[in-house]
Amino acid sequence: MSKVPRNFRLLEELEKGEKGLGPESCSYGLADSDDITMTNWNGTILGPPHSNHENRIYSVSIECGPNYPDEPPKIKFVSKVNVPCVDSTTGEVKSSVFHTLRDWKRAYTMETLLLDLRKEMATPANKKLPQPKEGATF
Amino acid sequence: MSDTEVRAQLREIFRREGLGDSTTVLQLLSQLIPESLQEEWLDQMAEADKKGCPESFVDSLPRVPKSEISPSSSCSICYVNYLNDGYPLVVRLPHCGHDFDLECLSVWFSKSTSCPLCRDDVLSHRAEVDTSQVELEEDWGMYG
Amino acid sequence: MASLPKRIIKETERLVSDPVPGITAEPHEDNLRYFQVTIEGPQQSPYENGVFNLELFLPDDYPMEAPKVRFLTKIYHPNIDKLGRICLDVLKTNWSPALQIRTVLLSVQALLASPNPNDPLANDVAEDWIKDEEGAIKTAREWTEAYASKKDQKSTN
Repeated sequence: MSKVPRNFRLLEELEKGEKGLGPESCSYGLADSDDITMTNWNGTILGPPHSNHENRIYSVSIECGPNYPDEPPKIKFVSKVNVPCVDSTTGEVKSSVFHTLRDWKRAYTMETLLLDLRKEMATPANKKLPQPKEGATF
Repeated sequence: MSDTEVRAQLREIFRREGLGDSTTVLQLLSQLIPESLQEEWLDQMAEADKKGCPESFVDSLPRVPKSEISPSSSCSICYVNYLNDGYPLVVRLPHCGHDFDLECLSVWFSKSTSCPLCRDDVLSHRAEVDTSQVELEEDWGMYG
Repeated sequence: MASLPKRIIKETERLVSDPVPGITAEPHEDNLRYFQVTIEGPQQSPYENGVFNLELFLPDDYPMEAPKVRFLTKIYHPNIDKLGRICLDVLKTNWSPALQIRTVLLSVQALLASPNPNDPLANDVAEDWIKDEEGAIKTAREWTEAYASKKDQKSTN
């Protein structure tokens, strides 16, 4: 398999997001539809069921740098959330803690990242953690 | 709208204008068909759209005998000189006469029905393929 | 990386040895399927005197699948959207494996010479184009001057 360059990879991801081909539990799109570099993205994660996150929608912002997807994007919660891998003051997902960022692979996409975060919110250790008031932001 | 109402409306349309306004008719008809079935049909239609030539068509294409291949000619799909291969498998499209490596063309024809060079729809004149000729070429292939 | 098909090697060699007037295409050193492209705006078009940067990628299935091409320079054109994506039949349904990088880029250049607002990708631009062609052409000229002028290209490259 040849290496799909950053921009064409992001265009593929954009198309998948635009067409709604991904799973219903997360979504993502360009933050600025004019940005030819396709750096900043907005995402949402639907809180996993049977957890304190149930029925909540979490907004995140994603930054795909010039070396994406060789390097992972930066991802930050906009909606307040209490999970160990998220910095409690900035909302940043800590790449040293969150396995998907730490062991990033080129084949991973923004969708992988959002779905894995959702799984992380639903682990037995995390699902009953007390959560901030719904709608609060970082 | 209930099924009875849809049927009544359809009857009214047929009475008035026959099958003239087909969009409305289709819209009404689609209400009578379960959504899951509609989706299945749409999927099937999309699948059919993607399809290229049947394998039997590709298999039936006449081979170009090695003696007729010019030393300078190459496949316009892979750019490789035909005679680089000691046993070149070159096929010629019967209608437009364009030739290609069998291997390259069969990949292309698995998703398309047009000649890569002139876009001639190869399936539009299938009846013209002379199958007696095909057998002859294949015999040649055995000894060539 | 998997070895490069002979066809891609040949095409690349020819693009260098026998370049198309007004078009350059060079593969990136670290990815020989990924090309940095420039296209000069055709004369007598609103893109005249502009040099546009594009990127082109040959997917695994090339030439059974069309190359992927995108403008990197901002351009005001009814068939090119804000992200530089191009609406051109040979890049989609009308692709044929007998076409090449060279012919694709010539088609893109031809698209600059004859915009087609009736088959739009950038919807708002196409609307402007139909409503007020003269005004749209003027905007296209201004954008060419602002984003694609030759001296800017030289200083940034």
